[in-house]
Amino acid sequence: MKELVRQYLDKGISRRKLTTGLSAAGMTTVAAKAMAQALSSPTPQAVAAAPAGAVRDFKGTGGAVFTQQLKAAGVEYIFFNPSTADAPIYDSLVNEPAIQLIKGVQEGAVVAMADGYARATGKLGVAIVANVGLPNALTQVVNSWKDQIPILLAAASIAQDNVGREQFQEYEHIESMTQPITKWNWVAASSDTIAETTRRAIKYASTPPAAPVYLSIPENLLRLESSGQIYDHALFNVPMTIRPAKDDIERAARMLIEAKSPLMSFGDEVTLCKGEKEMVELADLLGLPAAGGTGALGFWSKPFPTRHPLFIGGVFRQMRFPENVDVHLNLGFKHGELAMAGAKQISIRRDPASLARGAPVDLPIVADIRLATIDLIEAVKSLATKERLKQIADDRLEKARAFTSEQAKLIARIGREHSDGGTAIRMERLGVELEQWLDKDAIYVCDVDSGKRMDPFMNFGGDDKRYIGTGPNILGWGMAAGLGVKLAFPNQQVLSVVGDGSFLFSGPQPLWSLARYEAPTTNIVLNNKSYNNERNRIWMTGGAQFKAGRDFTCYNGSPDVDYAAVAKAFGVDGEKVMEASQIKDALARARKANMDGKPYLLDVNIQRDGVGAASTWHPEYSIADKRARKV
Amino acid sequence: MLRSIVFTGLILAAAPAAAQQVQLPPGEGRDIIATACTQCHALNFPTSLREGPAGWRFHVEDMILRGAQIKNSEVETVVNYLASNFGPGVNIPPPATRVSLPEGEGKQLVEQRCSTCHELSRVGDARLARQDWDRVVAKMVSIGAPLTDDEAKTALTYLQKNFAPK
Ligand code: HEC
Ligand SMILES: Cc1ncc(C[n+]2csc(CCOP(=O)(O)OP(=O)(O)O)c2C)c(N)n1
Ligand SMILES: [Mg+2]
Repeated sequence: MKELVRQYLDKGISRRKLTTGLSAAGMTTVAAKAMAQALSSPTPQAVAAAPAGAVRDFKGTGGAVFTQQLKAAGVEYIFFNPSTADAPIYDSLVNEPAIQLIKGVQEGAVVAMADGYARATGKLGVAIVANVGLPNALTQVVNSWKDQIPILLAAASIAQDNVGREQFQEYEHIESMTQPITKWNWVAASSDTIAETTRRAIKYASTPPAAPVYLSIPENLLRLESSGQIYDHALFNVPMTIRPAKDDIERAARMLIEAKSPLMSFGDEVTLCKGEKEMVELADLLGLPAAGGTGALGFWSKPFPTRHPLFIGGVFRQMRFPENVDVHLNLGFKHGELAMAGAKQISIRRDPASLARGAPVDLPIVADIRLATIDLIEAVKSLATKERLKQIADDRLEKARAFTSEQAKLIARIGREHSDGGTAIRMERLGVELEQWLDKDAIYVCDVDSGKRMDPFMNFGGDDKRYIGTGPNILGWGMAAGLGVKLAFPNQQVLSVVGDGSFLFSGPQPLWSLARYEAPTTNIVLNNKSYNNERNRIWMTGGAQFKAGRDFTCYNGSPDVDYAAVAKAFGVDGEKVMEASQIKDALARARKANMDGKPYLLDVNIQRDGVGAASTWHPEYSIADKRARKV
Repeated sequence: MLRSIVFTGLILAAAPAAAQQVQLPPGEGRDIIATACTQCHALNFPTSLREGPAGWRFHVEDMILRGAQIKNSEVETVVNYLASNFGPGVNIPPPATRVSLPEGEGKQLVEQRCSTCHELSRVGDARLARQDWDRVVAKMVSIGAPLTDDEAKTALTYLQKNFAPK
């Protein structure tokens, strides 16, 4: 598919050939047509017919052409860490108030800030890094790639004449290292095509299913005075809001009405299509028990209200509730399709590539999730009387409520029973306290491993808090992503939660940006002095470390890092929270700091738990001891 | 079930599969476990592992917090099943290595009580700092090691004396 698209963009094949090819690759005709349209440049007629100002001629350096095209596409923020070669880009912004620069001092943080911003808004995140810093950026690009987040990652590459001469900091084909985790990568070929190339990059990144793309612009082209045509976003943005085929939707509606034991699963495409409200309306209309993921993969946004009586937890091949599922509707969950014995499976997905990929799907539908849900609601209403629907929904809801109200009691009991962690703080206790502390419209940014145990104690979705995590859990994302989220929603409380491991993976650098830009987020480090979940995973396979009872890899407590002191070194105030009784006051101080426009960090002394948690044994090794001379 | 303490996500659960599937003996609760616990991972906790009710409860509740579909009304049944079929002293495989511990007060106690869940070699191999022995013994008791308070103290003193870091 990628190859077809490349040929098309390079004008090697016709639009008809592209559509045929895409259909052959499994796309519906409607979807293939929409994709072809999305990829094609506007026709000369469309350009001519555009309102005045929508297309305009521009003269300036290549760098200025680039930023003017970004601005015309609605880009308001550029996250960056500069080098020398990209200076023309920043020079062009000296008198350009429409674009705000946000600096990160490590490229992973730069990408994570852009990614957090893009997840929160659905808009493109733009990150510009030094070509030599590109590998630093790539770790975090994996999060964006796996979760289909639109990111334009750009760098200035070496001047064209110098390519291949082993110049300072030159390494050849640098862009190809981005290939496995970007939808496409380009090197701008001439100064006069920078505008067009930039549009292409934006469109590739933003056209659903979205993805990171990589664009490099050679240093000499950035400096060169050039001319370009700048297009407004409307002229090259095709949002892929595809309506499903009517027949398919009617069939789905009928199946869901007639089902004896239906189930709806849901995932991140609901969020990406902004279809949360409609999803809940559909579930209510039909009394559909709603199940999400058990991990974060395909489920980093928890779009269905977790407090809703129809929300039953995770989706499994064999559900224990509801029993004997006979119709399973998957709404935008990449990993929601499961081989459920005895169930007919309907899967509505925006991304055709991962639709019907592993499990049998009886009715695959490619569509915008929100539009498909609206159509499904209409179809259901047209197929049965109000009274009948109400009866069906009430029946199903009653059964679901019997289950979910018991589960809520169970979670509450676990929270109560584990509120005392002795000398350290239990995760359960912190979860319960956070639920009380967080505003109802807060945004919870989650970059943790064993910290996911806290999730059930908090409510997300609907009128409640918003959850933003990452599917693949490439850690070191959270504090920087929190800045991107706060930038997008300055009037909402933002909490970033990271583990001690995940703090160390990003390093303290995100703190620099938090302080520099006065981003009033609260940052919690769940400090259990360990890769806690990692050790549990390793020991549970019963290997040599487990047998010997010695943890060779996961203990972090030596040196015992003082994260609050680290934060202070970066100009972010913070404190250690050692015991459960201190949580409330510490959170109140965090809130106060945020209200005063300052970020805050809480280094929370969390209990290590699970297998091998008790001892602090770790292999001692001293390089100093290897010395024969005290130098 | 235990292994899953571990799993971070649907797919990640496919981490290294070291062990053979654990065979579940018949009993009330078996079918719940056979369904609820195998949706995300195989039942492959180390077959030699044994814990008491409090230990098993931690793992069961941990799984529930991570999404396992075990109902409120079933928790006790599941914990009881695990503790009686995979509890201290139940059906433990013969030790792979013979361990002889140094003489001293507490030796017998450690030999008898500390080998009911795992091999004694784990005790013999460990060389832990004082406060770590404190924590380990407290943890063993909390997950079901059959020792009274006084016995635990005796065992602790013995371990701290004989198994300090070299
Ligand atoms: C109820 C079952 C049980 C009994 C009885 C028991 N253990 Fe354990 N032990 C475990 C389990 C399970 C582990 C695996 C790791 C964990 O959970 O911390 C373990 C691990 C250990 C470890 C490895 C270090 C660590 O942090 O995990 C040591 C050392 C140890 N036990 C010593 C002892 C000693 C000494 C006794 C007797 C006082 C004892 N055990 C009795 C279940 C038991
Ligand atoms: C960038 C990155 N490196 C390595 C890993 C592998 N990994 C997964 S979890 C983990 C340990 C995380 O430790 P921490 O954040 O302290 O979590 P917890 O102790 O709560 O399990 C590691 C190393 C990863 N997910 N991401
Ligand atoms: Mg940790």
